[in-house]
Formats: sequence, structure tokens, C-alpha cells
Amino acid sequence: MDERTSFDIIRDHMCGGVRAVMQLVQEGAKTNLCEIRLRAGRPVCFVYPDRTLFLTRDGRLTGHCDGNVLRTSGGQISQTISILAHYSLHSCAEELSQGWFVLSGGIRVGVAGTFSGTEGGAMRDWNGLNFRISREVRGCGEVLRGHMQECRRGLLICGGVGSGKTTILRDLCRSCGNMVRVSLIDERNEIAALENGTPGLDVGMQTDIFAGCARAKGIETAVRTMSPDIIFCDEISSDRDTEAVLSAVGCGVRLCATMHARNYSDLISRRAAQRLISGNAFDIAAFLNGSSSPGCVQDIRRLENA
Amino acid sequence: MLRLTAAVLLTIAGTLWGWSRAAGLDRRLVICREAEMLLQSCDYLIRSRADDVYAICRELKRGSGFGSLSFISQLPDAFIPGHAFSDDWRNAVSGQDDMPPELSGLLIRFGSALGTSDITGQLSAIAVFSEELSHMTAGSEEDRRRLGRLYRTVGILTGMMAGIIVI
Repeated sequence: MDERTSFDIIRDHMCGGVRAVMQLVQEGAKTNLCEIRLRAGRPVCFVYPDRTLFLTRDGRLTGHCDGNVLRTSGGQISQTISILAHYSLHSCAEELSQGWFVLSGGIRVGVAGTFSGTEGGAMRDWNGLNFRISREVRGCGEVLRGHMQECRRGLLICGGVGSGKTTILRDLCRSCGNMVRVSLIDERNEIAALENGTPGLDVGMQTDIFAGCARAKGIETAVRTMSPDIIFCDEISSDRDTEAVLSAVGCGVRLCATMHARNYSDLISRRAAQRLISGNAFDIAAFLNGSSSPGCVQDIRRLENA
Repeated sequence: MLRLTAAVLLTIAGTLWGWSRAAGLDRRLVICREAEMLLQSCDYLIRSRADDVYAICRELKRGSGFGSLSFISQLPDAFIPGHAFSDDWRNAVSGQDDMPPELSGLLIRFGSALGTSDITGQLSAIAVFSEELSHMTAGSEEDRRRLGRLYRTVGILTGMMAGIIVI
């Protein structure tokens, strides 16, 4: 990866007016930055784990939404989309129908707008952008590596939004992928951040990456073609994902996946989790603290067949 | 002797002027035809591969048959932060001095439209520009046919008449 930071990459993809102001932002403001959000007619927001600040016209950050804050127009949002598409909207039909772009370094840009009426239609009349900074934190998965090694079936990493599930999953994938054969199912290309086929983030030497495909299809293909020792995937939620996971476990493959659940009670209230637990897909569930302390493990539980 | 020499030189000058004007008409037609090929190439690249604008520029540079469109060599190869593609395209086209102004205007408008809509929109836009360009090419062909021989003939005759007057 080049020497540019995530902030630099995001700045370079902004429309001219916002880019000029972002040049003025002090280094200290870039530390722990999680997201930069643009909304039509509203202030530019810098989102941190514990607070949200507004960008002013002179590049400072403030908690007060006053007349000095920098607001973006709908036209500027469209200009930014054009830049994200590298001035080639016709080449980005997939991204515009799904509502996200991926920049180098695993930065994911969510797009808010109006979907056209047809099934699978592209988005238009864009009104918001969310630049989400991907964090590669080496060693953050060490606390769970021992559990991953000892489990016979799989490890489920649970947490709320911003709790660090994906970051821990990535680090665990990296450390496991340096030892055994791993298949990574990266539906939104935000774990490995593939750029021209090369991962922009370290996910392990022996890791095969399936990016841009549906999770279930990726799991089925990986089991069929790559004979992995472990499959890593993010955000198991649907029935189809559950079926694919159970099928992979039935083929003797171990799994490490994330699921949205703040605690054990929240987990077992979810239908997908009930099916996975009753199907013995996972031995262990690790629960993360939350967005106030991302990456911190709050609880580790052995999962019994319900 | 001196007058004879002057007469010959004037005849040659007239001939050269006529041939030069006729060659200009030939060149204008060649440029129009190559511009038509450029639009067809863009149509193909977008229709078959949905190439982004920079991939299209790289393909145009690699392609043969664009010898008269020297601006292609100045087109951007890759996305550069802070550089809008339409500006780079416009600067490249404007930098080719021997392009007829109306063709230059058409290509600049085409560059502004490139990449600003989905595939269907792009192909429709290319069809509209192609239609406009085909009229321009037809006009150039007609001019070459009507005026090419006239320029050559007028050039020779003017030179000869000037020479005779000198003698």
C-alpha cells in the first residue's frame, strides 16, 4: 500500500469545495476518525467512536452546528459520486445498484439516494455519502486466537454497530491464514480490500479471497473448490447464509463469523442464531463491548445445543 | 530572363496555393472520418466491456487509425485526484491546432458527456454525436468534391495569369 493515509484517500475523492477545506484539517483531528459523512444541505460530519463533530469552513471541528459549519449541496454530492466513479457512471452500475463503493485501503463509501423503480435498479438523486474508514489493527484478534484454535466447529464474534467485529475478524483471519488454509468470504470487499486482485489489507498468506459475491455462494464455492481448514465471513443473518454455514460445518470445515448481537440474550433471540446453535455450527461465541470501546471482549460463552 | 523566371515562380506559387487549399480539404475529411471511428470505438468499449473513461483513453492510444487525431496522445491514462476528466479531455482537444473548429466543439461536448450516465444513456449520447458528425463528414466530402479541383485549377491559372502579366 502507498504512504497515503485513509484520510488522504478520502480527501482526494471529495468534490473541490470539501477537498479544499479538508486540506486545512489538523493531524490531531484525524486520529480515531471512524467516518466522514456528507448530507445534502447539511453539515459535513466527522464521526468518532464517542462523538460526532461538524467541519467548519476553516477546517476546524466543532460540536456546535452554527453558521460557520461547512454544508454540502446536492450538486457537490453528485460531483463526489462522479469522482468516486472515476468519472464513469456507466462502469459503476453494480456499485450504484447496491449503494456502495470501495476505495483503496478498504474504505467503504455508502451512498444514500433514491432507487429507481425497477428491481435491482440503480440509485439516483443522491443525497448522502458515508466514508467509513477501515482499521487494520494487528493483534486485536490475539485474545480470541486461542479460542479459535481450541474450538472444533466454529467461533462466532458478536457485537453491536461499531464494536469492532470486522476488525477482529480481519486480524483473526490474518493470523489463522498464516498457519492453515483459509477461505475468506468478503461480500463487500471491505475485509481484504482487493484492488486489481491484490488484497490491500493483510488477511494471511494462505487465505483465498472470494469478494463481491453473496455470502452463501462464496461459502459453497470455497468448500467445493478450495478445501479450506477455516472459512471466515462477516455478518451471518439470512436463512440462506445459515444453510450454507451448516452445510460447510457438515463437510468438516471450521467457521469464524460475525453476527450482530449485543449479548447472549440478544443472540438467541435471533432466528438465524437459533438455527446455527441448534445445528452445532459454532462452539464458542465472543461478545464485544460496543462502540464506546471497540475491539474489547466483554464475554465468551460456550454454545450449547438449544 | 528575369521576367521569365518571375513568371515561372508565380505560376508555381499559384499552383502550390491551390494544391495546399485542396489538401486542407482532404485533411479535414480524414479528420472527420477518424473522429467517426473514435466514436465507434467508444461505443464498442462501453457496450461490450463498460470500460471506464481512462480505460477508453488507453485503448484509443493503443489503437491504430487515429493518425490525424493527435490529441489522443494527450488524453489522461488514469484517474488523478483534482483533475476532472472533462477538463483534461477539453484541454487535449483544444491543443490540436489543425482541427476544424466545429469538429473541435463537437469533440469537447462529447468529452463532457462521456461517463455522465449509465450504459444506455452513453450509447444514446454517442448515437446523437455520431449523427451530427456524419453530417459534418458528408459536408466535408461534398466540399472536397466541389472545391478540391476548383482550388487546384484556380491556383494554376492564377499563377499563370500573374506570370503572363509580368512578362
